[in-house]
Amino acid sequence: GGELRSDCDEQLLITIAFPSAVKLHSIVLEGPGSAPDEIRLFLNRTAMGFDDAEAEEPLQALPLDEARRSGAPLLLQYVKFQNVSTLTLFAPSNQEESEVTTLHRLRFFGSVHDTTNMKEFKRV
Amino acid sequence: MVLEASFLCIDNSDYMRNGDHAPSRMEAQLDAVNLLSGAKTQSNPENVVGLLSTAGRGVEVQVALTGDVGQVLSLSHGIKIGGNANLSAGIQVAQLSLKHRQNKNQRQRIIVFVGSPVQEEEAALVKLGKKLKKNSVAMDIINFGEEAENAAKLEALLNAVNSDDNSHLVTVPPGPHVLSDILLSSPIVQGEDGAGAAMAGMGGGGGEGAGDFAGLAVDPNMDPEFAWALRVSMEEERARQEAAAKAAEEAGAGSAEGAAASSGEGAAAAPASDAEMAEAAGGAAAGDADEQALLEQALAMSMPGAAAEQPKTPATAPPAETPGAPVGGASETPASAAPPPSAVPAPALEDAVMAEADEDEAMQLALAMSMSQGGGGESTTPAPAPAPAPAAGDMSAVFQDPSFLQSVLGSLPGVDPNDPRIQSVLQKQDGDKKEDEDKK
Repeated sequence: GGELRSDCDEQLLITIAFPSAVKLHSIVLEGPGSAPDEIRLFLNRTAMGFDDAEAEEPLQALPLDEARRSGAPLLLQYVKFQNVSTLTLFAPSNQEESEVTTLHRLRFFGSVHDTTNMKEFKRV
Repeated sequence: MVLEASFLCIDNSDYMRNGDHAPSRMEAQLDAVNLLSGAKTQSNPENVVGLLSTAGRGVEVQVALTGDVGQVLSLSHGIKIGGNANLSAGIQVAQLSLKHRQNKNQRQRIIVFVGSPVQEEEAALVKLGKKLKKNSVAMDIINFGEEAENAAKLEALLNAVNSDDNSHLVTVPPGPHVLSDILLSSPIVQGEDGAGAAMAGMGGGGGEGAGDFAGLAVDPNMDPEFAWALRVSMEEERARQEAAAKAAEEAGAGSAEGAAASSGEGAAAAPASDAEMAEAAGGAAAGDADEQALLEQALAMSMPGAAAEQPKTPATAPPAETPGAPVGGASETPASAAPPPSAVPAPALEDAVMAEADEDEAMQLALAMSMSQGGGGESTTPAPAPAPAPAAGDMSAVFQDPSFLQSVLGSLPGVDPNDPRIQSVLQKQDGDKKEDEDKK
């Protein structure tokens, strides 16, 4: 029901820390007309600022259009997203060129790394 | 306890030679730098501070981000005064320095001193403020010296930067107070968690000693809630004193009424009633004082509650400020001005009393009570100035006059001057008077 709006200008920087390392397969993004027109992804970067995000080469850039912001999965380069603990999404501008960028929903699809299940752990 | 990197931007323009903040604006600023860098580094062992100057030959970084307060202190005293301050350039340089801090977990904060007129347009400042907010830089602004002129621009800048109440603007008008003392109780040093940072400020400030609570025998660590309550009441008292000083200025020092009103609000405890007494007499002697105001004052003095309340006020007031405060000065001046018309007050007062007799009997009674109290007080204290004592003696003598008292009492409705109880009281007073004279 809620929505995410950019604060000072149209740029948006979202940092997501996963509880454990994951493999990411795709992203689903939903938003209105003022949704981002592009999403740049950075991997395992803590403390990233807007200046860094603008200047640096992203791991993958996803251009967005009318169709791709209404629930269609955006496929990631799966081999590059094998060990994701922190994901940074940077939206440089929006599709309406308005002051505020809006997001309604952001979903990630992927799998958790194989780790030791302590319930199955047996002493030898 | 916030982990943060703070950059202090000090103003070293020619305006800093002004002496309206003791000893000079520059020295007051350096004292505040000492306090702030101490408080910031003490609140978290990993905190760092930096220092730059915004005037002179251009913005100059004096100390890069460091955890060593000594370095900040020693280098801050080498700053030369000169030129005009460039606020926006200073903030931008500070932001750049903060961006390249070594520990990216530190929050960023810019603390800027503004003591000269801000050259920048408001729109430019707002744009800069938004940029800081976007990069999650907090900003504290200390507006002193040219505070009235800069208030609107700095307010706009603060509103642009502020998010989640992380930025503050502290305005310090010139006065007898010390700049760093004001900062000590401000949210800049207190931070979000109040008492914790206050004690850090004390440790770091060193020279400031017990800061707020000097002379109050209060340890803020032992009872944070009490310390908090004290601090709040101190701030209220300071605001009230500022308002009173402003009101006194507006009324004009020449007016006797203005002086009487401001001294009535003064926090000085014991001398207050004496001073008021002298003023009341002086006002009546001048003849131009409003009689109604005189009676109200007399009524206030004779209220038993007033005496009990007086000692409370100074306990919550900062003791360091009271003697130097403008109101304190105002209450002293009329007291010393009172002696010359020593002979005049008594008859003049009598006239005033007689004139009022048929107007407001209740007021009359209050005046009579306060006069007798004043007379008693004067005779027991070893009369600081020779002149007021005889004046008070004359006043009490007026009330020893049985015929006068008879006429006063007779004018009161429902009081029979021949009532045995009243007679006994009068006789008792007569006896007291004789005893007093025996003592003398």
